Amino acid sequence: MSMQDVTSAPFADAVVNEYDVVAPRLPGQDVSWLAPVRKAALKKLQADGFPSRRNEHWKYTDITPLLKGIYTPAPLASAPETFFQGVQRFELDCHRVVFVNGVYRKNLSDHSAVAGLQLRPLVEVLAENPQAVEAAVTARGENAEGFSALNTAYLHDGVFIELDNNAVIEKPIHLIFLSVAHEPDPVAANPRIIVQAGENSEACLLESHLGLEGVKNFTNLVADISLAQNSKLRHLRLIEAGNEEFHIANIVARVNRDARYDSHQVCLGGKLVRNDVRIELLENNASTDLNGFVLADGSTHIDNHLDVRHIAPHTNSSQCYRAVLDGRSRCVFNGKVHVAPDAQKIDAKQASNNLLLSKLAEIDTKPELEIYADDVKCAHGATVGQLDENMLFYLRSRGIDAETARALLIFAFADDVIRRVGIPEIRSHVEDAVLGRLPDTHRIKEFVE
Amino acid sequence: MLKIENLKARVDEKEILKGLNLDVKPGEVHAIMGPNGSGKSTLSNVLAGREGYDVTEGRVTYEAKNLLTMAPEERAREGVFLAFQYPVEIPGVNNVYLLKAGLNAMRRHRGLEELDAADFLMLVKEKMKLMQMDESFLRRGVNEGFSGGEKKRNEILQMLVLEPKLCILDETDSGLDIDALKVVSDGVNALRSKDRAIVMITHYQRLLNYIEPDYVHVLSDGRIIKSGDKSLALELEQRGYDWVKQEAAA
Repeated sequence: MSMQDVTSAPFADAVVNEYDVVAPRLPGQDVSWLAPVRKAALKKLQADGFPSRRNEHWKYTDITPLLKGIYTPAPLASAPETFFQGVQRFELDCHRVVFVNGVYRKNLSDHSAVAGLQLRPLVEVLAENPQAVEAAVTARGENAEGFSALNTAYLHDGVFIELDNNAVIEKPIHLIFLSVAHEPDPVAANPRIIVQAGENSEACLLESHLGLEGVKNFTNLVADISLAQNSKLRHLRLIEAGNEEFHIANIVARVNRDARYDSHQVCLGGKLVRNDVRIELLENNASTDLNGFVLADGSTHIDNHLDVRHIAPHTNSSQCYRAVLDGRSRCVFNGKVHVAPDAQKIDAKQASNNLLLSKLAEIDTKPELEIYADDVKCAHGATVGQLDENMLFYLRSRGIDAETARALLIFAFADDVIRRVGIPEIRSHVEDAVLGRLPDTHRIKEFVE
Repeated sequence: MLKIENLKARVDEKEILKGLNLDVKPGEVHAIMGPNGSGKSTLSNVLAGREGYDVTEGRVTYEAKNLLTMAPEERAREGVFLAFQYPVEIPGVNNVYLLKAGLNAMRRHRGLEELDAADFLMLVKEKMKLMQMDESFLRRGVNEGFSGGEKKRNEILQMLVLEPKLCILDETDSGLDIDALKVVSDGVNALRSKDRAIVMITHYQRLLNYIEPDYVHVLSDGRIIKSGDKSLALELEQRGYDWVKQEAAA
């Protein structure tokens, strides 16, 4: 297969042709196993190219605008002199790791040692004990394609998180990715998150991506998460990219016996956002709860692809995604549930509910069930609609004016999934983002619990 | 208080109300009875201002104002309350905050100060006791997961809190067992006063044993064809509607 057949795709060409310029600047030069993994990924990318819309899983998402861009690879970019005050915005008591344009910034971070937790920049790990991440990086390299191959070849920074057996980390681990203007060209960053949770460990990982209006950077993130027996990880992803940004993420979580991976992806901005989340429920009683909320307007395009693999029997999953779309925004939800032949007695639920506030907004929602076992419970449902006229009338008949009633119903719809965010500061931040786009907000918030 | 004159209304191009007249004065309780399809629900929806009902002729005057040009929320703020036949569930909108917002919208409209949270809560709890509602209702979404009977009780609770001047009860007795019917009727009776009018729209006479009307009207094919006192309801219960229709046709 050739590269995506666009007449002009400078980025698609540059990542291959200019690799030799970047390679010497990448971390882990002394790590013998790393260069071959990178080279193999680049070769794979060169052979396969980036996904085109002829690929079923990219049918609704056209990445041509991304491939047409010209970017400076993060390792070659100059350190920005100014960046906005995004670091402290949540007033959250947390272990904080900050990246600016994909590069770790020690002076903005705050992650002193905590018993049971290793929280280290990837560059440092590759310099000091690269064997800690060898298995994860190698395994990802072997399966990489398209954007994850790109991330592997260009991997330059990120974070390694290791939870010791029985470690319960009270404060959230907050990874903040700030995206700021870079001249002459915007930055392409390829960060990697590696999480290894030991037996019976528990933690909450919060990832925020914050960008300014007009910044045209591209973030291509890969996360590899493994959860040992009876461990629990809550993973919140808060994507507030600027209106011109590209954000692509590929997340894989491997969940072992009695372990639980819960994710909540909140997408409030970006020009084009694509999240691929793959969960492998590998052993009995592994479970995952996947929530998502999309709020979009303008010409934002947000694509969430979930792929839940029930590999072992007695595993549970639920997917609950909601979108509120205005303007000419477009949202894609593809929720796949795969049940392996021996994975009996599993329970899988899926719901995709969508509210369209304008005639030009569009949602493409698609459940995908592949079931090879016969004793399973799988439920799915999708709704796409406008506000319910009966509800509006009921509220108005109790004295609430029409505009407030509309806003209230939009907020209630959104809040149903936002409330599952769990961290009160973040929940309230996301609620405020929704309220900020609604009229008569001072009266609305008190309605909802 | 409410004067309906020669009211004609269509739903989906079909004429349902065909020249309805009704005069309701403060302090009065009216029952409007009629067979299925006679226009009972259309009447209550037109009075509350639901979209999709096209008034083609006639007038509805409420306290010397044209009710038909008012938005549903204006009607509510002016003191018109419809207890719905099928109250809708609104997940995520808290039952009690809706009530508080509604009450305060009305108080603002009347130039009164808004009630603060503590005073409001006291008021609601008192009314909930009357409706024999559990305090867990305070935390639930509007009608969310309520049984049929709970929804009807909730409608009357709202009425007790909002204290409207004109209460329209649309088939409030349907789906209620005898105990719930008693509670709901007690709630309605608690609101009877010389300044307030109540219009009950009902299929069955049963409710009228608990809430005694001053007037009973028979609605048939979009018109009121007979009016009388509460004895008319008993007669209808025994003899059905056909004799009234024949009498009217004669």
